[in-house]
Amino acid sequence: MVQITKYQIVICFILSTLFVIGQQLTHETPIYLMNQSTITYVQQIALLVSQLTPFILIVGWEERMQTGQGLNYFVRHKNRLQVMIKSYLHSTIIVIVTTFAIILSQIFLTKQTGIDYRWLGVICFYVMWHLLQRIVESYFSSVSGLAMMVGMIGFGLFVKTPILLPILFLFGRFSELNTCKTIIMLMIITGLYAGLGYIYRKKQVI
Amino acid sequence: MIEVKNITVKIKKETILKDVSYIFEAGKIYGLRGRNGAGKTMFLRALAGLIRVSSGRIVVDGEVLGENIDFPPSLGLLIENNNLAPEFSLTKNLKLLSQIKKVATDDDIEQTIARVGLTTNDSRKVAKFSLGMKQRGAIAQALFEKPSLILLDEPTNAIDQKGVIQIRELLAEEAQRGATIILASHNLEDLTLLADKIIDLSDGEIVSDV
Repeated sequence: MVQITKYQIVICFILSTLFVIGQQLTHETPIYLMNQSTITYVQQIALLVSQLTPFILIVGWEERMQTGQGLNYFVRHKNRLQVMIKSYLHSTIIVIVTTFAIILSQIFLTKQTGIDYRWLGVICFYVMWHLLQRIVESYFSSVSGLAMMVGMIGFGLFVKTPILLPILFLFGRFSELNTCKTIIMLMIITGLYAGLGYIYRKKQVI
Repeated sequence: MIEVKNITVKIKKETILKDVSYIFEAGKIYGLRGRNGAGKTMFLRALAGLIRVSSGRIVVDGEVLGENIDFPPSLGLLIENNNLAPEFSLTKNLKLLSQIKKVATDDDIEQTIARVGLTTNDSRKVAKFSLGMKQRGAIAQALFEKPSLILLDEPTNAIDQKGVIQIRELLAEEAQRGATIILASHNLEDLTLLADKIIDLSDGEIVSDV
């Protein structure tokens, strides 16, 4: 029932490519690791757009999943567990497959052109931030979820937020690890996503 | 047959349904009547297995809801929203849903869409539908798998007079087929013309059954 259109996949690939090329055109160091005082307006706009776009894509997936989990969808299953596993697996697979597709395209581009592909960290970060936002929304209120969303956009504008900077550094450094460590890190990300996703789905289904 | 035995539903310490008991027989149409907040929708949700009862039991064809089964095995549902995916056509919506249980054919889908007064040739997204068309689509969604239990909350909302007559005829046909239909409505005409029994709910309790 969960649908992801071919357009979304195409958009994802195009954006992924644009991020990498755009980044390379504007600077050598990834923008989010640069000293804020040295960031130009153009770079700030690039940063904002690049951070917002994955978010919009993720929201798109999430909304699509929500649509696929209406009451009509629930009651056609044998039991709640089946709904939960199915919807949970669907959402996890969609995000993980797409994230991996982005990684692969970025690795391919890096090898072909020598361009940095560290945007992966930012995308993964957004996946988890978004899930956190949805969980907060589910348990508390839509206002708190909205506050988190606004915070995330604000965060995109002012990268040097002292508390959050280490997190970005952490994600930014992922791609500098060797293959083995990268796989371990990706497994951790997947695990975190799966855990958060599970909590979220459980709340939604019950 | 659906037996509702002394069910109570509490949500956040508030009692929504109080010790409700009733037996719904196959092939009959039951109307639920009551003012806003009387517990009509919650009753439908409980019968659909969407909320668990705090006490009591709902037995659907011998299976206890929430114990042996989570949802009634053959259920058509229209509660609150149309719950159709707005970015797809109605036909695609029904085809997607049909993949879950695999009991309805493409012919069933086409026929049901026609029976609610819509056309399968309409490739427009559901988002582009008028309110009345969405409602007809939602009814088609509830009926296309020929379920044995049909729960409808305000089914004729937003539908024009000609359409209302069409939907009433459709529901009568479904009852003749053997389906148990329970519909909540504020429309007295719907209830009077369609229902074999009208159940009055007030403050979560059945106060009359005529």
